[in-house]
Amino acid sequence: MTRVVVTGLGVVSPYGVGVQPFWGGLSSGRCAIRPITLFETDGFRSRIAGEVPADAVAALPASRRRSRADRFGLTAAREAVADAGLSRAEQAMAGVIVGGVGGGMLEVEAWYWEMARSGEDPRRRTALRSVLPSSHAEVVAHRLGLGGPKETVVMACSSGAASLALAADLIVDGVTPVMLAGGVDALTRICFMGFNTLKLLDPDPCRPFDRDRRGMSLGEGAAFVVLEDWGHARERGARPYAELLSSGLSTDAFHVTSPHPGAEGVIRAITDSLARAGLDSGDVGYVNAHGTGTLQNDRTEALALAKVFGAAGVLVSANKSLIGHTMAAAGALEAVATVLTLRHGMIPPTANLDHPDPEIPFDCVPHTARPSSVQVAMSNSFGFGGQNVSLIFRRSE
Amino acid sequence: MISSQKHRVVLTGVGSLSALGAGGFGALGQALEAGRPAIGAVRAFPVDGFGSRLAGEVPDGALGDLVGRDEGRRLSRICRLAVAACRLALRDAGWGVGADSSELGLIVGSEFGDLRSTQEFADGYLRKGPLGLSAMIFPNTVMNTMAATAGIAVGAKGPSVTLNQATVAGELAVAHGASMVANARMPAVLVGGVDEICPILYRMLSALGGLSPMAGGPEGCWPFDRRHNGPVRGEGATFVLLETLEGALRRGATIRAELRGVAWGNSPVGRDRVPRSEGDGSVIARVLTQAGLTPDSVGWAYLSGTGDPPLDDWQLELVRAAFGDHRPSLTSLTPLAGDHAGLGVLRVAAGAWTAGTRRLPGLPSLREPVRDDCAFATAPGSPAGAGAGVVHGVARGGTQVALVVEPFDAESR
Repeated sequence: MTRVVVTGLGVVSPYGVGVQPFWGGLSSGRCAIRPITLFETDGFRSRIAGEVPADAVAALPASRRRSRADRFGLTAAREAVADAGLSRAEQAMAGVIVGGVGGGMLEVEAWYWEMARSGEDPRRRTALRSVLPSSHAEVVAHRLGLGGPKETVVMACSSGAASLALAADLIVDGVTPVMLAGGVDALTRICFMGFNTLKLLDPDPCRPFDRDRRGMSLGEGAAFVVLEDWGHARERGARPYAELLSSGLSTDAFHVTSPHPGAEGVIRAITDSLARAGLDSGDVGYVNAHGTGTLQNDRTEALALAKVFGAAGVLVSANKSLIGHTMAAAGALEAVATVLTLRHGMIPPTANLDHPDPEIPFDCVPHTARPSSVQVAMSNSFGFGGQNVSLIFRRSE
Repeated sequence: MISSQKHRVVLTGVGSLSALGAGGFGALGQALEAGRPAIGAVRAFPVDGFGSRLAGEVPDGALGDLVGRDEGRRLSRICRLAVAACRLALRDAGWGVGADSSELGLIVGSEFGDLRSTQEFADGYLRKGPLGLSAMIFPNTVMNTMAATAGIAVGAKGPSVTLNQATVAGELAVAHGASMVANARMPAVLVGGVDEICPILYRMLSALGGLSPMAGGPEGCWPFDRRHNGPVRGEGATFVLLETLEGALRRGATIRAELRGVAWGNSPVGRDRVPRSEGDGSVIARVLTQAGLTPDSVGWAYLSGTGDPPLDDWQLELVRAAFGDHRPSLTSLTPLAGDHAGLGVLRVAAGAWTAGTRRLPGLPSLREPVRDDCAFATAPGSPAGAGAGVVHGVARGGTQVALVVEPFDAESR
């Protein structure tokens, strides 16, 4: 059986550019959700998000002619590949799978808004070329010279996690020994307006698992991991961060925006991932939760975790309380956070958790990071369309 | 790609809605046999002021009773197409439609998703501010909306994956689905492609020079012909049911064809560029190796052949590199139905039809081939060469997908 290990990490997050500031922010419990500066927010219930700071964006080592999302993606991908120490020859055989949703919509919105208001087709149409989510994979593959399979997976908010699951499958199937996998999303007006319209956004920074939670906060960013056949990594002397033991993918087939009330699909994703890893629920010490802060999501996720792990059976925390819900990037950023949790033996906290919901019977690590020698951790991601992904990582010695 | 396979993968059902009409495997076979191009002037919206005017549109009434009245009100047009094609494919395969199944996966390829809904959602805001926004429309702005609604409609509870890719989203979906089945991750996967033509998409493609006539001159879909000057857009949804051979035999399904191999890869170039290949046929070569075939055992091939000149030229380079002096009969379906993600899956379904009938729909519009060292099928109902078939797709940006389709040989069980 092929074993898949994580040998490189790269991040752009509301804490700035790089894995180090990301982990520093998460482990300090500093909430990076702030007023949105990217576009007008007048008239909306929530006006905040985990925005990548302007000075970090200005310093991104990627052409300003590219979309904001493409710049995030390329920067995070470069960091991951450099971190893994891949040679150009290894990059030439590596594949890439990117989870995307918004693509270059932020720039296309500007084009469309201008056209709608002026009645004329603006001459600058370059933004249209990067509107699709597939733009990220195209840019990353081209700039990094990746000659293996190149794919874009769109599974709403579970896209980033799904990219890791599908990439690991390609390694296990012997298609290629090295894959770059991750997720990318920039804030867009449409996403911001849509979640406001669904009344799913909290006017204040989100409070996953809190009794008084009122919805989620949006965010943006990108994260990539280099996944590698363990034998290949060992041969070239790479030092793995962690092993990606397994994944579980399932669909509720219940409702486009609401989770199944009995968490049936989520439970299947979790139990499938455990079965594929050959683990019992007691082997998992920590769950990096999807934890959006909406009433329904947190209740459903807690129900699933309680059924699988037993009440209070596992430590749980939610990165979204610190950086917002970064959509297609979320699953990848949280996978990186999970890997770093194992690496550093430190569980990042759930911010803004002042009054734990009594119906959620878990220690959700409020406010302050907690040292822990957890060996196996799970990262959960769910999305519109009832799409559920669970990833299980094991600490590398 | 599926060389490590644990299961043989067979195709047992087809559901298709395109400019060629709606139906299952039988209806598709009739349309392919007739080989009549269904491209014409856009009817759905005015195209005055655009540089192009042609498209392959799904005929009015094609949805028939495949989508209920309530669904018809609730779902966007592209979701209705996806739901209808999924139901047709499962019906064609004799699979219990609507049955709850955690053993059924769903993979959907799309190039553009539901842009119509995205525009409608934005227009609501631009007209009336926050009060003009619709909570009902917003979920459609995410490209997995077709998979989400189709999954609910047919009760598919396995993995549901949406792949976004130019030109070959359909082939890529089939390749992933076949891999999932071959490697025992799912016993059955409903795999499809879906796109629709809408005003904002047509306007964007036209403005970007992405449609025929790319460089002026007459407009038309002429893949591999010296007149080729860009794609003509099509629309529709085509789904196929892929399952393990054991599963298909167990439930007594009619096996339309076997997928013997899938491979995909990338030649890294800029997003809208075509590789300057010296003829790197490795993806086709890989898929033939997987299937245990030599180049001269391939009799025919469905190519993506969009009519985009550099892409057509690159594809023929790849074919020549892979097959050398051997010349399988080549064809493309784009002149019949127009380019869209569903067409990639339609090519695979058509491959199943050819595997059974030994006929190809041909390229009746081909007058002056761009190369004289390739053998093109030109007439409707052209005889396919003896041997296995290959479906091969290429996209700007350097993506390639290749699949091997063969008739199912009951003796080799």
